[in-house]
Amino acid sequence: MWQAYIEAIRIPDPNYPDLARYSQADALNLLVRGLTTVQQQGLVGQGDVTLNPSVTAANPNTSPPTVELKDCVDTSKTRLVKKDGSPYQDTPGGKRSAKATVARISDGVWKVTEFAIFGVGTC
Amino acid sequence: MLRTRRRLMTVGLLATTLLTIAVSASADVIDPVNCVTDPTNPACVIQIGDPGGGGGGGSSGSSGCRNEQGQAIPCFIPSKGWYGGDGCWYKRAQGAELDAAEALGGKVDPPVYWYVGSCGDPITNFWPANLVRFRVYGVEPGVELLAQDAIRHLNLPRPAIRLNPDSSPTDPTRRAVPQVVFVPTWMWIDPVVWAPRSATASIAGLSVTAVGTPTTVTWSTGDGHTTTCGKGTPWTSGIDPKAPSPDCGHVYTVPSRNAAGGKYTVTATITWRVTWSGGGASGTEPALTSTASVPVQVLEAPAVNTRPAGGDR
Repeated sequence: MWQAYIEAIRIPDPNYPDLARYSQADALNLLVRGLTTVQQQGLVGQGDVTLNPSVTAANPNTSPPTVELKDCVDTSKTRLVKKDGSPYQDTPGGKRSAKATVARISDGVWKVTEFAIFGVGTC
Repeated sequence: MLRTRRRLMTVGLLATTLLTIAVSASADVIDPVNCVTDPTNPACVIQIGDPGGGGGGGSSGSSGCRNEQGQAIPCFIPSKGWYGGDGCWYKRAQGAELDAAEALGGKVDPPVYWYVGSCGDPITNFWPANLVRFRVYGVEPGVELLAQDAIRHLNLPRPAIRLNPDSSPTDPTRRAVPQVVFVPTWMWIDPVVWAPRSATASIAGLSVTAVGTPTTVTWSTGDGHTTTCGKGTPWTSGIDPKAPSPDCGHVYTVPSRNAAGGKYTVTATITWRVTWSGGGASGTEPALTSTASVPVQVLEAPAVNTRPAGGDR
């Protein structure tokens, strides 16, 4: 999902097809809203995030079954700039604590249904 | 000894749904630990004690686990394991349960392991047959529970503020002496307060001790200045009152007559480092603080150590 988001924000394109391939529901809505704002402000994303997810819980009885993940997302090598080259100062990135719920839609098909990503310096 | 550094977190994901559907099940006489009918059951009650030693402080008593409605529930159920804070009781997953956890969530590597949670309501003894949840723990969930409880019972004391000139007398019947501009103020924390505090939580043969250790004091002197010190050095009679404190002092330059009530508010905040150990694990938790304030009058004219015949004026 983050890979799709990074690819989408480099354009930026709120309708980037892979977003809906790897996320749905609240998670997808949040990504689309964020990318729409970026697009409206004439911004574009650069760089890449570093991920290191680990599983924290699994819920076999929910429908669909879900897995909960935690991560420490490093955004220090990313930034937002003005697409037309005009000056723009974003806030520095860093290590952000994150958690996500991933649903098993069908065999081999997983989608992030919700996620939360916390402030810089939280992990 | 396994060392882990982690924040203790409880996730209340399932609790709400579980406990709202758990309404009308009949009580079961073989329910191993029903903490409503038998609140003294050792498995229901976390014993809190001061492990003793030079630390001082601490507290004793008992505590327990509670659901989101605030009702007492067992922290440990022999057949099901430790309460995970989410409506489920967890024990190490093995055999078919471990296979099921790995099939959904993947394999995990030591020192973390899959645990299987039985989710339900011990008060009504309602345990939906198929309702399980798997969680990954590095420290056994019981150890996490006890560490949280021990930390909650540390009873970290508020700072006892000591100043020279003595604006905060130990004996409350004594009159507070004002500070004087350009005369060094000594600031320290009474040694009775400046000592580690510990508390131990134990249940079902498992025991975790938390220790709070004072590390720094942040002083706000009320005149817009802030300084950070250790415990500070007590001023004792015989020391030149015009000498500055070697490690924690302040010099007022503006009298307090224009402050609210004609006095400044001096505030001291102690930061306590919090560690715990027990059950084969240890860890560090986010620091805690305790705070106290005293009103301090600061006068303009030197009102002490002046004599008509002194010759120094």
